[in-house]
Amino acid sequence: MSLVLNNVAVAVSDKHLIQDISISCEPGKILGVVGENGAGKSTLLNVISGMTLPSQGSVSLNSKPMTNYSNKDLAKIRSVLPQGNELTFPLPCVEVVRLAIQLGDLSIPEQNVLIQECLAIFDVLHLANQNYLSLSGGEKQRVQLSRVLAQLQCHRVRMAGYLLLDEPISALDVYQQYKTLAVLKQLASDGIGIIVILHDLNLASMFCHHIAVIKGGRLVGKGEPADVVTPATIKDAFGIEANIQNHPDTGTPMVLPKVTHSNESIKITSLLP
Amino acid sequence: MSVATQMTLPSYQSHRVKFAALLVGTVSLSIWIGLSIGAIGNDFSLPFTLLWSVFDVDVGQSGIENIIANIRAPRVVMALLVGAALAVSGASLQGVCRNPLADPGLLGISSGAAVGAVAMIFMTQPLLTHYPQLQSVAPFLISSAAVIGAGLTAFAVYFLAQSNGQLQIPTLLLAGVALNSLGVAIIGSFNYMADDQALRLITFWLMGSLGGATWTTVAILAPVVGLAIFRIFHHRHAINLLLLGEANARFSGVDVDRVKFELIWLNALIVGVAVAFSGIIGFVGLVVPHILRLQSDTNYRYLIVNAALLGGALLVIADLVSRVAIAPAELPIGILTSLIGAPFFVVLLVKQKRNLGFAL
Repeated sequence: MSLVLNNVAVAVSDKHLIQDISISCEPGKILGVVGENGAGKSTLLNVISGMTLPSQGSVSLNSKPMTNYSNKDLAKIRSVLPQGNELTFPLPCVEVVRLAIQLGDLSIPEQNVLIQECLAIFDVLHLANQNYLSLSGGEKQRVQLSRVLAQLQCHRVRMAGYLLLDEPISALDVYQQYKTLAVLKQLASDGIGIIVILHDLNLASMFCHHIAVIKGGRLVGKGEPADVVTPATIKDAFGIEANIQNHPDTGTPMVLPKVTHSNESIKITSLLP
Repeated sequence: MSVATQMTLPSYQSHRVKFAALLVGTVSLSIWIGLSIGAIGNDFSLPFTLLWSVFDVDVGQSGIENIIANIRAPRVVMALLVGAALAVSGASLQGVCRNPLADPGLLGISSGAAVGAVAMIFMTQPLLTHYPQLQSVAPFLISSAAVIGAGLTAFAVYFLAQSNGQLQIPTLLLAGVALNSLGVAIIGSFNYMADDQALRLITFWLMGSLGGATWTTVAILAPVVGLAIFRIFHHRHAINLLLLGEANARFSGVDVDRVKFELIWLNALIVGVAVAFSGIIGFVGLVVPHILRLQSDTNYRYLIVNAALLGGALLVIADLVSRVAIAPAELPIGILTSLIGAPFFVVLLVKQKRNLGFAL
């Protein structure tokens, strides 16, 4: 029971977006994916979610090749939050969450119970009847998280389920970032496997069981935070010099970038009169 | 996973039931008025007498009863069917395109159907002299041509806008606008080869009329529209999920490509037959779903049925006005729907802007 990528590569007209990637995620664990902009994180998530077929290698979900699943069966064991969830028509938040579970076979009262739980978990139950379009970016993101969780919970019948999240906390304030990641950790301990793309290395090392670092479509580091978040890997993946210190409470590695950019090294001369 | 919460979600169900009852009432009222009022005379009890006469053969068929049974009644039924077809088409296209602007008129499907129909008007005579065996299907020729015209435009627009397995919405609307003007231009150019008789027909296609309604046309239209609305309703959950974008719909288990494909050809079919018998009637597909979204909700589970009811009722009323406004002449119904629909739409937008701070 796990989600396994074996030597996966994706190429679009001879250009490799990602290559040689072998990672896996088990139920109960959080795998964080970090890397610079354009490193191929979202492409990787597309492959994991079954949206993009790898041009090389294979993806298997609970020991069955991804290609053997229908859309409908996939929706029952994994739920995906992509970036940019646009909605053009006004819907109350409760109906946005309901969209995810209407293909299941819950009755309306059962649906309502599940929707309430999911909205409450991400702290947006008070927005249940508000128009989704009138919410702030962070509130929208939490409603979408509720939707994605509801989809998984509604279909989960003693099967290993997976949550695949592309930058789920990018619009959240500091408190909600911590809270949301804590919720994800709780969900993981309930037996869900979570793959999450993050930008904040410190949050990633605090909350993820494993971290995969991607640069230029290749894996440059994977393993437990203490083994991955090192000055060498950070320098390799992001090009910054960093001090690593352990968090006083959790002991997880914290990244403190060194101040290398003096004022002279960044010149915006073309904008000056 | 248990959350202790006493907050209960309000049930929209009672509001929905009330709203559906209101719509059914509106439809019944529009049918009654539509049957009672006409150029020959108004009699609000006649529809009931006639209904009674279905069970009791002894009621004599006077002139006006005859008119109601064989002229007004098929026309009212036709208005219901065409209105329902256009409104459901608009609602489903707006869902597939995730854009409140989408409508069979704007996407060029209506004018594609009209081009097919007009072309068949010119071809019917030569075709029948050449293949006399086609005589038996002659009533279906124009509607089939309209469906083919609608289908060709719908799929042309659809494939133009398809890129990387995703429907590019701005391209879709632009392609629709382009094909729409092309269609109108082609119909207009028929002006130059048309005699007086054909000119009248072309005006009919461009401005719409329900004057051609007979029980035969109703018999062709009813099963097609009924079946297509049923199939579109079958995809209600998929359309709902498409509102979140194609990727999210796929992640939630929708077979997006198959659903999009089926919805596009269902729209071509339903708009094709509607246009074949009534010409281009604008604004119904745009305005009806919009009103319903403001008054009820966006959930397609209710939106499709509600759109069929409201679209039907609106067109019965519009047809009534077109019959009596300048009696004994008739105002083209397409002009009427645009004349009332456009200002009404602007008022809706302004109101919405005031309430929400933005318009949709």
